[in-house]
Amino acid sequence: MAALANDSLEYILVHTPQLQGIYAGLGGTFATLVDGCLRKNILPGFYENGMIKRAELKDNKLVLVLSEKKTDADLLSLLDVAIRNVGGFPSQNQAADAWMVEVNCEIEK
Amino acid sequence: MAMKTGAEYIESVKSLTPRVFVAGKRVENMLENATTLSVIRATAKVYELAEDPKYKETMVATSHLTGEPINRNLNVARSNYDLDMRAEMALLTSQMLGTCNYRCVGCDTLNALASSTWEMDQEMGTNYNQRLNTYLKWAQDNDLACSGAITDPKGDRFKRPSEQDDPDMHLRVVEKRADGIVVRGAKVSQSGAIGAHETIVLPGGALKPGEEQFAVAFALPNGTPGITYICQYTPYTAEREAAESIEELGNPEFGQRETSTIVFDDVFIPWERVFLCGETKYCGRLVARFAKTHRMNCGGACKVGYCDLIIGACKLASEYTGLQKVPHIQEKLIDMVRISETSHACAIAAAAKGREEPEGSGVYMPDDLFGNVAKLNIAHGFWEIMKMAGDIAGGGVVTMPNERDLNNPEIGPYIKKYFKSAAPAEQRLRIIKFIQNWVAGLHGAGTWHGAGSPQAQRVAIQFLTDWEAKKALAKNLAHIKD
Repeated sequence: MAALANDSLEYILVHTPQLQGIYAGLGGTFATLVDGCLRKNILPGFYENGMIKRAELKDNKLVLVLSEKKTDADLLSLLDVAIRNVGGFPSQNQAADAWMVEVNCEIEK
Repeated sequence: MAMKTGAEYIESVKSLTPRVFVAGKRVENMLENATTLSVIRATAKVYELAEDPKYKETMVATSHLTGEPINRNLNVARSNYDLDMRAEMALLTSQMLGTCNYRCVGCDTLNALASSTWEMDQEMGTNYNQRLNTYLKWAQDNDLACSGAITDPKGDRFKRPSEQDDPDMHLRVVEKRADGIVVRGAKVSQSGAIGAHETIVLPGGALKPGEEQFAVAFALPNGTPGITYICQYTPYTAEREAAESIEELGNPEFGQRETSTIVFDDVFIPWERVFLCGETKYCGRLVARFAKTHRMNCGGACKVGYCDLIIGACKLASEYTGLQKVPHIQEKLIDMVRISETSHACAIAAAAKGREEPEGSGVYMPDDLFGNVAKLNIAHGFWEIMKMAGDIAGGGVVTMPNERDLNNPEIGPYIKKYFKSAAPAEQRLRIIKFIQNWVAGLHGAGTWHGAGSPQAQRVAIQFLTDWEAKKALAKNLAHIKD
């Protein structure tokens, strides 16, 4: 029965400076997140302009800098909403070849 | 992963923030807006029904992909029994909700795709069916609520999609990339998409060579960037917004049927979620398979459940007014049952006469003719039933005061005194309000157009009926020789 479907889940590892979270989604979930941040310049699930100060894809890593000062918990919470909105769910598993999101905030001067 | 409970479903949508508008205002929290909340409550109820041992046979199926129990809304029919239970689920959810099972269209789109992707893979060597099964297994594992989106805005109806002044009148692919596609356009009249986790999108109809950009089917999470939901706004929306308590409303918890227009503003869809892209030859068959499935369920089961509610309410109304023994009332109630159960019988026949399509796919589709007849019959019959319901319920169905009047200390005693009949005023007003929800509500036109307007069923019936065979039978008995 299982041969009818692939288990093509992908994993996304989210890093803030201090915290991390792991998400699993169908293949293409990371690509949808990246497309939202880079092409549309919005964090999925959030619609105000200017929230993303910088977004860059480096190999398998999405580097995000969000506007204003935010705690690590805030950053992780924002990415939690973003990834859930593109079809990813929190996961206990972690694959060796996980995609990565490195998220930080704009430092107040 | 186990099936979700109603509470787990609600928890899962709390963290979703799709871009939803009601009456020109952005809905920031779908659990705090009266309209969107009614959709979420209704969807939660569908999850709860699957938890109830009493409804397990109807609401729970076994996945052909994993062998695990799954919500039937994510099941692909693999037998006549599956088809029958699918229709029974539509009946049950309508009886329990009095509005849409908002997972219903998604279920029928998945079944149509299961059939057509298998066919495409066999004939063209694509891997759409594998993709769909992988998607479906993931949706089943997470017990996701999937809605369906089919109807394009269409623009000038006399022009083909490729002839429109604005090419976005039919959802289309505007870019193909290595990792996926970008789509633009809109889908209208989508029931309950705002409360779903995912939407399954099909082309709006048959397409010809040269119209490849419009030939696209895919699934997407409802929070995908570029998606906007613009909800319908009706007098019932306004009434719900203005209500001090949901007890004032005709269907307090679950409301009328809520739909939205979904705008796709250059939305990225990864290839893993694309199930048809450019294959115009298969679009007509795909949509026809959706239509026959949905017409069996919508026409011969869902609306029959609504009729059960209306008939029950009319029986109560006749008792509350002391008219239950009046012959013409009894006659009307019997006629309502006759109309409703005729459509129900068509759904049962469509399931019983259904067959594997295409042969070898393992996917069962209902009988096309019975499915179309079920829908066409109820499209007309539902108005008839509402006419009789309005008759039995009386003029109060459009002239009644509000429940707030009943509770007002100054005027409440008048209401209690003058609206009392064979039952207290409270009961009488409540059942009249319930009937108003139907006969002066949205379901008449909704039933007419839902699953395709009657003209679509007439075209199908014209095509499906073997007129020559019927003529030959008549000629044989009448001794007419050519």
